[in-house]
Amino acid sequence: MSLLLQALVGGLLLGGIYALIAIGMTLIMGVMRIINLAHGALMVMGMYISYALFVHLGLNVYLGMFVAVPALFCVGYILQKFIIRRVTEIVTVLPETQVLLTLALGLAIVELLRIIFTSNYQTVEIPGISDKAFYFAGISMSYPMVIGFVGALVLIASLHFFLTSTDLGRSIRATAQDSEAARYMGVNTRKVTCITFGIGSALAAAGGILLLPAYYLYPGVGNAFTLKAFIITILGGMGSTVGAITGGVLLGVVESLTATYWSMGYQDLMGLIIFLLVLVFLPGGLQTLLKRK
Amino acid sequence: MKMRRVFVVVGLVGVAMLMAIPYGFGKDAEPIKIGVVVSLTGPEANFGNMIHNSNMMAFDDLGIKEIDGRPIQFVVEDDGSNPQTAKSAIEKLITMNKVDMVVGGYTSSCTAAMAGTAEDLGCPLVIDAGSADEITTKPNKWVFSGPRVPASHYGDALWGLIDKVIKPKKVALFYENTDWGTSSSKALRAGFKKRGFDIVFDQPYESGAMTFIPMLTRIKSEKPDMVMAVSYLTDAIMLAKQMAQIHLDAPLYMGYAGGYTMPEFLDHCGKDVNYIASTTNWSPQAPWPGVQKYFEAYKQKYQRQPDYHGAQGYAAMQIALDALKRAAQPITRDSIREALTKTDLVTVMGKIQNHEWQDDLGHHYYNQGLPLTYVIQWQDLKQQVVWPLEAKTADFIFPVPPFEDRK
Repeated sequence: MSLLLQALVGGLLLGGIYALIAIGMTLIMGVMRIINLAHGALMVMGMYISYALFVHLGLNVYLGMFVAVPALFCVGYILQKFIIRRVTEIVTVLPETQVLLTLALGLAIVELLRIIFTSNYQTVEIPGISDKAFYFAGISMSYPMVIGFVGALVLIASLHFFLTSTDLGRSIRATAQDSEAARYMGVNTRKVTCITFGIGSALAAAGGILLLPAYYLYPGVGNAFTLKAFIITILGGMGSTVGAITGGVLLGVVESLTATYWSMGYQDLMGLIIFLLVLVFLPGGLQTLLKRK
Repeated sequence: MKMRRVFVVVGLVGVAMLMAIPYGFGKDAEPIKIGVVVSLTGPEANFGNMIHNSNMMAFDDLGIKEIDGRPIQFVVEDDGSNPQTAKSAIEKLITMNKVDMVVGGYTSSCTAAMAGTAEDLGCPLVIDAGSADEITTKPNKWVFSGPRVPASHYGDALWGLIDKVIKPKKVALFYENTDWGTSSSKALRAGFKKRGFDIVFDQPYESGAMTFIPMLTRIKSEKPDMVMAVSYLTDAIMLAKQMAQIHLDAPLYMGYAGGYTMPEFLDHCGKDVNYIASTTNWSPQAPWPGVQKYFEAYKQKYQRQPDYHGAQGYAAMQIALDALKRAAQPITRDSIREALTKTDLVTVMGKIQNHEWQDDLGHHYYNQGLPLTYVIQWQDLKQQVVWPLEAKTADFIFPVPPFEDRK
């Protein structure tokens, strides 16, 4: 029994952080219709900012978020304003040029981080948190994972509130639904896309930093998360906060159950099988199930 | 007129003497050339450089700069971690640079390519590290194992400890999903089965996973007497931390070299390393002359701790220079080869004695020694050699204390 409970709880905690990392991608994809392959690299950039503050100033990595997240918002905003928009607004030879551009940006960021921080693995110890865990009914939950999960939920809830209850949030949603119509209604869609890219990058950074005390860091660590974020975006549907949570938790729990009852070697495979099934049978994501009813 | 004649005669004699140098006078000063082929760039550059640095440290430490008036000279070639390049590099060294011997070979694939060429062209090769069994199971005349341990003997010390001390009934085995992980698991599984152990868990995992807790929880529920793990550094870090988190109290957690012996393992895991054991080819604690001195000097010079790759590089050069010292005069490829067949030397990798022998698996080795392998255990944040007993620096702790009782 405790085996099942541990698998479910572990999957849930992991899924929450997956969701936060993915939500930035789902937002960008929903509003701008581009697949951002630099997502993992932007996440890692945020992690390194927080890590550098920890190493040089002794700042708690969670507090480092208050510097890294705004910084990544600016990076995202600038990337969209000066680089990505140039490609999205012109007719290019290949329609995939935008995707290739984000791929190139991601590679460039990773190499830059490699030059500055080297390829060495880094871990972060927070005294009193890193090596502590809750023990309850025969299962254990490490402090960093619980903090990460709660932090992720708070951030996702804030984003949901922002998107549904503020003018800027509504402009973002309007742009996602129909950018032409939004422009006619007086929405500055150019600015909205820049802000969206900024928010997406900031959220990726936040997710990465919440993960940092429970994981390790090296410049290429983001690649796996770009893939996971992409899977979650497809599972949950583009631009949906609820969808991202559902997708993230589903992926986390499936991975955890596969590792517990089958084999850890197959957990990524199971994630990809679900991804394929959803693509083939529910191209609009899991939300289609709800809408059908 | 007479003066002019004298000048002409003196001039002619001078010219004749100059022309004679290559044939007589200067012959003693012709250098003894040692070719070095090593991965200085490419994916294996990290360890390739460690090996090369250690080669050169050994040369400096031993202080043998010339033999019989002939200075020792190095010609270094980079194989770029590529077997094709390794092959052409050693060809160039032997045919164009006319080296007297070659020291080199880190990855098994590069080493195998080099061994074939050295044998064909008839030049002695002392291998640094390339460990695939087949490299020395061919009846080669010119290929010498150096300080390497054949891959299937990496775990020799482990079996001694298991048979004499741990005697487990139930073992859990997991390994990373790579060539190294799966091939190591094959050797381990065969060893467990041969001894009639019950393998209660036997699974691969994807390297780089964020959480191992589901797998570790499952292993915990199986209550094994020993956990055997084949992991590289990052996974070893996550595993050690998460094992402490879920209190996986197996009587012994044993790593199969890889990440478990690296200095970085301690840096990232802190106290969670304690009581974890691992097989290894070498330890800075190994009881051989020069080990500590080499370890400290390397750390100081390169700001980094050397591991067994470095020790192998150092030992390979010890073996090469020892052979040069003993080789019959005049030193030729043949006399060096002859000296290498009689190598019997204590290096930083332990005693190296090149000979022909056969093991339990039916492998027949030529010009191959068998350096000791060890089991280390982390005790009070330090690596201690706990097996074999003749090399131990501390007593093994078994069974290890449960996590609840640890400070």
